[in-house]
Amino acid sequence: MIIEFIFALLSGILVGTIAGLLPGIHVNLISVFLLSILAFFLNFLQPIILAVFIVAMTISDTFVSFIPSIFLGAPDEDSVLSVLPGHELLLKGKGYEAIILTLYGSILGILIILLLTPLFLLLLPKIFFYLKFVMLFILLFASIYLIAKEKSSKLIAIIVFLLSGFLGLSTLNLNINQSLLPLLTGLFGSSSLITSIIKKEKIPEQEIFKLKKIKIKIKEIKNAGIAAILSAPLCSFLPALGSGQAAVIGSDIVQEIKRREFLILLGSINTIVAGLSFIALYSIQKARTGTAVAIQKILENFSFNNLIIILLTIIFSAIFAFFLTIFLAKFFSRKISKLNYKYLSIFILIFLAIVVIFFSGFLGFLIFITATFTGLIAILSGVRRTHLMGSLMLTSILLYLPF
Amino acid sequence: MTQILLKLSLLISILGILILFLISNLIQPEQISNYKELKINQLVKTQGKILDIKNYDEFSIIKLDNNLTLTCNCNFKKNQTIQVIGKVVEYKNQLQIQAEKIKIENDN
Repeated sequence: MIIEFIFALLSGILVGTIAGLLPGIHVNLISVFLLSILAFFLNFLQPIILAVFIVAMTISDTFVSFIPSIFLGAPDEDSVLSVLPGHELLLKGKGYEAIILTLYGSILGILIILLLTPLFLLLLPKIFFYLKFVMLFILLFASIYLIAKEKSSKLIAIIVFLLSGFLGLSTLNLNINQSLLPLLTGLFGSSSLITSIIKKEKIPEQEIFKLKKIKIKIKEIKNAGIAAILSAPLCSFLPALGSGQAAVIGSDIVQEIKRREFLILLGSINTIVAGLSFIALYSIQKARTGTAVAIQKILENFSFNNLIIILLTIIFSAIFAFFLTIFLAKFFSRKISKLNYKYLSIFILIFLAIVVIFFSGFLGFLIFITATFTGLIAILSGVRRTHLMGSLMLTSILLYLPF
Repeated sequence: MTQILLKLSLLISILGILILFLISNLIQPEQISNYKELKINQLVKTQGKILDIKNYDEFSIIKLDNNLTLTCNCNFKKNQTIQVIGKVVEYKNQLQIQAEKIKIENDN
């Protein structure tokens, strides 16, 4: 059993790392594939071993996925918002530091998961029903506050929010495969890449510091921690909400959140939403993320012992993923300034277009093009690109309306 | 240059959203009458008489007389004839319809 556990843990981390590094390949996609051949695996593996594989893959993906997002401007659906502050730091030679900040955030996220697990087990079944009603007001408040806070042009901010919202609605109405892939890759990824190509951006030599030299103030941890605790847990068990919405709510809660704090916040939210979704599955038997759905199907009788094994998997995979991501971030930091960034951006843009067509078809490609130009509106007009999260926020608000 | 690009982006974005909105309205659900015709992620339309209903906190599971099962957030009674449009999803290795629109055809 222990050897099987270690094997599942390590192979989960390996697959999660590969998925995290490849733009457009989300762990949900791998879980769907795994479920399609579940019967084959269950012939020689216990269900909990498969669950360990999925949990390890999910947690390590939340650590590693910031690398393509920050270095290449090619995010997956959970790390989209890190493109914005991460790319700015990359252009100042601080891409490595940006990754380390998200990693500290992820470790903070693991501590928050452990802190909140007893509360989830004791309180969530009792208050879950009422939280659904509160969520509509939180979403409405977060969206209005986001626009009110815009320093550039509030009118353009509203236009960007609504255009993204209508695009999100049309996309989800189309019932295509992996619908968030073309939508978010276009809004945040390809639009940034096109800007880099137009501006002929050059990536400077990246500074690689020792970990102890990357100083984080207690205030930064406190701000990011409070924002993460107040936003991420809700998005781990309420339907139609994910890391993106949690980040918008979280940054609204803590006013004037700085770039560094935002990266810590994103790292922690990503890991919390992924980790707590498994705890919520045990507590209220509801699966709200793709990988939690996979665990629900694999573990038909989700016992307390299973939960302990899953918690241990979260901790072990976080430790492994932390050091693995540092190693990979150093590797990318050394290589990135030596590459011709314009050609690299063109290559990634073509790669993303092929991935979109492969998984979501030509309708997905149409969404990708539309989303790219919608993303460009935000960049060219100078409004905050967080307004593009209207693509998910508006859909969630409509879903939570009582009529 | 930036202004031209901005206007162009706005134009393409609005056009794209309109086209996607039109396409989403043009895609017609496929009419089906039995379980064998179901394919995952497919948008389908079916009619049938309600044989059984199980109500849970957030949703109901309805069994129709054509052997199809659907889930919905709804409140119906046995023996009503309904028309359903929805997406085919898999739950516990069984295909079922996740209802998006339901219309009562005969309220017996």
